[in-house]
Amino acid sequence: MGQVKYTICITQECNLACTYCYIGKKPVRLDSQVATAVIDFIFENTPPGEPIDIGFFGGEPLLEFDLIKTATQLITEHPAYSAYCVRLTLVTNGTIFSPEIAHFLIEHQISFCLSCDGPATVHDRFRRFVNGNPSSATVEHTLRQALQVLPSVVVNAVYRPETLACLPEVVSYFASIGLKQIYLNPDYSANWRQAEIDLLTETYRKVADIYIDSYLKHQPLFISLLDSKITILLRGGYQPEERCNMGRGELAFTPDGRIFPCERLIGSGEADQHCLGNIQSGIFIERLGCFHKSGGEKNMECFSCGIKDYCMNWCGCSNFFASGFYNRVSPFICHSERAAVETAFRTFEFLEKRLGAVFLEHLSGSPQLNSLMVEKLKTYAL
Amino acid sequence: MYEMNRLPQIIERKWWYGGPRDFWLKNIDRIQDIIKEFKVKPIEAEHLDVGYFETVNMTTKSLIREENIPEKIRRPSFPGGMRIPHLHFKGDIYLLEREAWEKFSGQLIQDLRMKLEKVNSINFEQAVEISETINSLG
Repeated sequence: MGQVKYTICITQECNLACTYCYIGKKPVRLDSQVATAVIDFIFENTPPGEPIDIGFFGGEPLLEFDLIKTATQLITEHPAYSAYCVRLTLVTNGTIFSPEIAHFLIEHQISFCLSCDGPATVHDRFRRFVNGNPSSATVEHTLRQALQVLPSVVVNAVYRPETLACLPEVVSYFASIGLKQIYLNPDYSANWRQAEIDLLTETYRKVADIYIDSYLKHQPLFISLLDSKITILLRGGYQPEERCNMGRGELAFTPDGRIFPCERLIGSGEADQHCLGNIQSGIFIERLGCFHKSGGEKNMECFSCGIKDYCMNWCGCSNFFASGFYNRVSPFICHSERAAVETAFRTFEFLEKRLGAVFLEHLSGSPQLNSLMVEKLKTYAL
Repeated sequence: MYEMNRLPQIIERKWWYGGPRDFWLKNIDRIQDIIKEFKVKPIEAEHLDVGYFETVNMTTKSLIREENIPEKIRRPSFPGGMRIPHLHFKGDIYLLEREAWEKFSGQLIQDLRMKLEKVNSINFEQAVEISETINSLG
């Protein structure tokens, strides 16, 4: 079956008021009864031995650090818990951090993923505190602290039409702080126009220039836009278990126990349009059928496209945000995926020629490992 | 920064499920051809650098019975696989010299280049047309 992914929304409160937030802020928090029911559900409905990915999400989950501790304890003390099957992740807005939090994350081996859109000029356009104050300085401080004490720090940056052209600057900023693992994600719900689509290839190539430079200097970055595509290109395309599994291999739980096929659909649509059920009453089986086609493309153009195996045309929530349908691809997704695949291919071709076999980790499915190497990347001049 | 053999277990754990994945199965014919063409011989893991593999004691839950089963697994002493171009074929490892690797990866690149020449695209006019059609259906 592949990895099963669960997202537990610890709270829907947040101290930021990001303009593109899809969660739907409200003062609800997870209580121990719902947490116990959710965690029991997770272990009861995951085949034994399957890798489980559990993400703590929000709102801002660190507003309820004690709840995170409670949930972690419930998970690790569950009879079905296995340390080598379960992977925990925390996604945070970066405004709350402390030595105590860091110690807890390290002790329980919880991956730390911080949302930051880039330098102040970019980040503060859409990610401000509830009172309207900019949050970039606080977030940068957290990033620097986290890099000092945590074994691995991942940053996730969202880009919109207004900030697409800033992507190279965003990547350079992260690299200058010392971040090595950079995820770049477009806001699919934004109003992408032809003018921005025309900029995609050029912008992604500028990002690739920074990526190539990092390899040539033997300090490789992981940039999701490129590394994920290089991995997919080498491995012959997205495998069935790597495609959208929403509602089948992926579920999200709200603090009040509602169940969604993906955390990005929690606050979207009209009044629980995507809700599958409730942890107390169970899942409505007939609603699961709404998502059963999320793994396949429906646009006629996709069927005969040469790169369809390397394209994320199957992502149900991205499609929904962009086109209103789970299985219909928007022009932006089509062009963005095409630009990413072409750029990744040219980047791979260039670096293979210059440095030799540097993408073996990508070939075996762990592209981030290059960025975590201490030793300099060597050329394989055998 | 962490040394290779002390990477965070978050990353390392992924490797407890075995090394290479379906790439090797999808390209089995091509791999076989390269091995034949360059007359590459398989190597034993024990012949690699000392310490590459380590035996780890662990327990796993039986899928049939409600009990834990002790077992030993052999895994790389650091995650990330070997830092040498190599192919996996029918359970064996074949190290490749530069020429062989360049031929192998060159074939991959050629395949990809051909696929990139056959891309389609969805444009705004088509998207509007589809939406209007769907809306008219009620």
